[in-house]
Amino acid sequence: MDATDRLMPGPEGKTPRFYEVDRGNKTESYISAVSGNPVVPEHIMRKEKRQEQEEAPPQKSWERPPAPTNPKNTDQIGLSEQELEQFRNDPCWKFIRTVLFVLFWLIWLALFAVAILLVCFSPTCVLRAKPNWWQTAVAYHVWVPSFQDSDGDGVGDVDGLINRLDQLRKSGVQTVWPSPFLISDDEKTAVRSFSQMDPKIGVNQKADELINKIHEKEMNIVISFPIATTSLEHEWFLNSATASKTPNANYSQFYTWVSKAADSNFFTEHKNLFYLHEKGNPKSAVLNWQNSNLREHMFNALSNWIDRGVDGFELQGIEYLARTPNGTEPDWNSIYDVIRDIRFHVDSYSNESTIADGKKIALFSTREEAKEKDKKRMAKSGMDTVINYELGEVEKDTKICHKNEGSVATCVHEILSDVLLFHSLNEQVWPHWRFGSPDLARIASRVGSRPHAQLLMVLQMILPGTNNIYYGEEIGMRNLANDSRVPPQKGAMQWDDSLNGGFTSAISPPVPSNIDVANINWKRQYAEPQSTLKIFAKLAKLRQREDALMTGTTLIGRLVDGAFTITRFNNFENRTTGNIYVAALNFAEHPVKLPLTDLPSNSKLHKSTIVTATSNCVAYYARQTVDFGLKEIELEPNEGVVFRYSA
Amino acid sequence: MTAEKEPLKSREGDEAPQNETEGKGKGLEKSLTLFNGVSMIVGCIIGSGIFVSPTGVQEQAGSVGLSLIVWLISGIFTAIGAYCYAELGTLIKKSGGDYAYIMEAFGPFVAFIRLWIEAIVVRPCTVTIVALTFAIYGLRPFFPDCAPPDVVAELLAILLIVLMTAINCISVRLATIVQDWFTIAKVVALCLIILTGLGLLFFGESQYKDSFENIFENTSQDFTKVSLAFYSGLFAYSGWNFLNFIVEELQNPKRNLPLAIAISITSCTVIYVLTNVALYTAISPDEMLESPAVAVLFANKLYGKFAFIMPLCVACSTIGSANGVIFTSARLFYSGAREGQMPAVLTMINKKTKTPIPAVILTGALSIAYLLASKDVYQLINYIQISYWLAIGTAIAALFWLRRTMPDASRPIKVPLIWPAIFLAGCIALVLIPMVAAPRDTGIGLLIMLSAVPVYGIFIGWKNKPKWFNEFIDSSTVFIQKLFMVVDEDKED
Repeated sequence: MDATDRLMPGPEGKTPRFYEVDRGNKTESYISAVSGNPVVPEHIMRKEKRQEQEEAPPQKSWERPPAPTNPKNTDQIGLSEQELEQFRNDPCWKFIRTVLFVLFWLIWLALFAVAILLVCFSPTCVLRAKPNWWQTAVAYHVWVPSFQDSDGDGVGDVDGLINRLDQLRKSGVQTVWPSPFLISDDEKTAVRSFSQMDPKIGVNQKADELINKIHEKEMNIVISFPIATTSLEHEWFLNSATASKTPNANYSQFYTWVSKAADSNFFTEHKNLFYLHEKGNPKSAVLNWQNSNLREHMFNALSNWIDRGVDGFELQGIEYLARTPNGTEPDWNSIYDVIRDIRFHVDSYSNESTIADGKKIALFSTREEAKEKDKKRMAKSGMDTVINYELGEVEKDTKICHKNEGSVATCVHEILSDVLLFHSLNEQVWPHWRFGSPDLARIASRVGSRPHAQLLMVLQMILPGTNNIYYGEEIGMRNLANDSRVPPQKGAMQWDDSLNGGFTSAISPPVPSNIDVANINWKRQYAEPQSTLKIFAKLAKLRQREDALMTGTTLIGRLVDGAFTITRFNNFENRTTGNIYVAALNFAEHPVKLPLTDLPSNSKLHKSTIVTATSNCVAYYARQTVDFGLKEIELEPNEGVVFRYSA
Repeated sequence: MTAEKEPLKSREGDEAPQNETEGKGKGLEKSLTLFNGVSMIVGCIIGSGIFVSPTGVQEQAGSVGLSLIVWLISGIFTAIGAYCYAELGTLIKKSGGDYAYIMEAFGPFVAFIRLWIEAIVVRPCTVTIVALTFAIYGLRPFFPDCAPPDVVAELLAILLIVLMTAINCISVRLATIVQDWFTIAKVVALCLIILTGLGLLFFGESQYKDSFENIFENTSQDFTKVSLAFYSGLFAYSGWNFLNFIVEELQNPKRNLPLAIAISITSCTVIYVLTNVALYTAISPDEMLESPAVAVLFANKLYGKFAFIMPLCVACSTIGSANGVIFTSARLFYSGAREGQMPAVLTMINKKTKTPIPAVILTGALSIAYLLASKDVYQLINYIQISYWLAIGTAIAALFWLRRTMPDASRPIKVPLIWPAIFLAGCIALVLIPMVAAPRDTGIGLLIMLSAVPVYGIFIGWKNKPKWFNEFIDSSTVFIQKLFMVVDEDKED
């Protein structure tokens, strides 16, 4: 029974061949040879052999007939070996084979050459220069006394900052900017020494440890450097004031001394003579950069920090590098010359120094009230960036952001449109953005809305150029209550939900924490996928990887009912390449449909990917694939989305 | 006396055709040890998939934790499948793998669909994917910061396919030399990744642990997406079912085959999971999603000026993989032609070079066609995986069927039915879920598979073909024979 069943498929499988033979009208002998002796599949053959062992005599008789006829079966398909052999050397076929063989390799080599040429001459990567490290950096402005305490005295210190560096790295920060830094009377421009760190935040050797640790984390450090002023307690000022004595004669020209005060706002008496100082600040004496001896000392001070590993300097007080004779106005033409000299010294020293080894040292500055032409002159003189201060003025219900506008969207959009237009027309001025600083109220408090603060942070992270983030803004910290012992924007950093937010173990520290520390803290947000911190970290790291965000063009969409878009893309030789990034932000209290018709390569919008979305966003989430083929996006109130698509 | 002599003759008779059909001249090595079996299977499994699939798995799984789980489960699933195939392989010893099993259980039509999928879709698509991987990795050193021009990657992939096709046409010895040397390359690449990554994880700075904090963050909530992740993972494990080609040559198969399966697939699973752990030490999930060439990104980050080693190793590995698939395709056509379901010319070999030139050229041409049709590597994986798993599922169904129709047949390896049941359920899931998650891709895959039906009807099912049709077939066969100097292998018998 089994044997019969197994035998059945075989013949059926071969039936077509019978018909083929019959239909083929082969010779009679061929047909009889094939028809009479079907080839049995190996499978069946093997089984039959086994049966043969069981019933030897009958199977043997079955097995014998196929063997003798095998040679004849070879004619069934195509040519036999003997028949084919004569074509091996046939001139015609040999020629065809040779030609095809040669042609094949020629074509292959030609295509290979084409591939090589395409790789060599492709413009995309070869021609693009890498930006300097500071141009794409997210600089984190730390107020050290409020950041992390390590010795339990209730005030932050450098050791505390060192202990938190890893968390800054995880947050996506690339540059650390500690303030205050140099020893001073006022934590600002009245420095007592250009080579000493303030002992209130740690002994001077801690500065070297901090610098080394920052570099180990593959981050950079910049410090504030009051370039034009010192404290009255500075050794130079003390020597200068007693220049009448022989040993200190060289210091007499380090400061500007006059016998008669021209303006009491700028001159104060000291030992029968008057010295030039900051406006209304007698504690901060102005250096005389026209004196070559002073210049040498200041250059040495900068070189000292370069050797210690500092990567850049914020030059503070540049408006005092040169003044009009009565001291009341800056002499900008002379200031530009001084900056140029500083630039030259920093560059040449960095190249010669065996420690710095040619590292690019960044120089940047803040200049309030700077006009466009002023920024251009600054950049031309050698300043790497000039901080755009305008966004620091964004505050709800003020003269800049009027109450009638309802939200800060209108004023932000206006400011950005102006500043971005300026930078697109003046590419030599590298943008540098700042929303918050030690001297400004926190964003969340200024705009009166944490969701709006988050939108502004997303906006900032999409803008071109260098970014300054004031500590705590990455988790959305608010101002302290106004009756605090420290300025409201200098509350303790909120690390976790433990005592004092993890800032210090002291009871009732001088630097208090905000009352919302249990909910708003770094540790909690690090574990939430769509928290402010995670949005910040994702965008900060993305800025290090994506050409469009590093050096791409910026396009700001028009304001639509309190919402607008910011687009970044690579425009190379009038061709858009790579990824296009779009931030869509809605500051309104109602849903808005934003048109995407003005975006570059908008025919590709149907295949978009969400990069990140604000915490209150429900419809969109990171890595989601979305079809914006209709060329519009609808945003709920106070929602923001960053998405990308390929050109 | 007579009875003792007959079994010996029977074995010799069995082995001789195998040697010739394999065309590998294994006269000196008549049987494989356990170690040989393990190394052969591991060599088949580890290939270009591990250099491409991590991105695909991460994309669908969403989180590091779930990605690693997907890799682990894929390995377990593969082991179950290989175990089930072991029974089929020892039950039905005809060459041709699951094509033979389906033929035995369900008849020629269903078997032909399986053959068609494997020969016309799976093998060429695999070559295409491997060639694209070669191109992606090969171009990486030249385009470190941006995507290369589209046409260059395709051009390089075509060049590789054509070159491998040419090598396999010219010389079996050359093809095997390519295979041996490039197998070393992929081992080197993976060892570099694993050792470097694990070293940094245990002894490096904390930045190398970032990917493993909040390890399940961004886990995909979409069940269908997680299922799609298994396609990428299982693709990396593909090649597990090649083991049945060696079953007849293995010493003591009842003991060694299960052991070979257990050892080799466990090894592959461990290697793959460790590779992914190592990759995540240096690459964050977001970075992985942006870079198809993860190993190169890994090397760029950690090896500095020696980073070129990685793309070199990976490119060599992909060359070996492409070569291996093309090299073994001839066997597939041979088994089909023997059943009258493939043109006989595809089984013919050149006497001088001992290479199956027509079969090799056909595979190469199909690979290039797929490359031109769709340049998205992952789309190709989606297309072929649906047909592939449908075929695998059918083969497992054949196991159940044969248990019923041939209950008393000799089964050196008999697996408890729970395992094929689990595996069959998995195969069904792998076929049905994409129909929901990616209906367009599924539709394309099924259409490709169903292209087998008219082909079967015209060339095999059609009993009364007109005279001109047969003459056309015959003259084509003769023409190809003259052009490539190939003859039917059967004539040697």
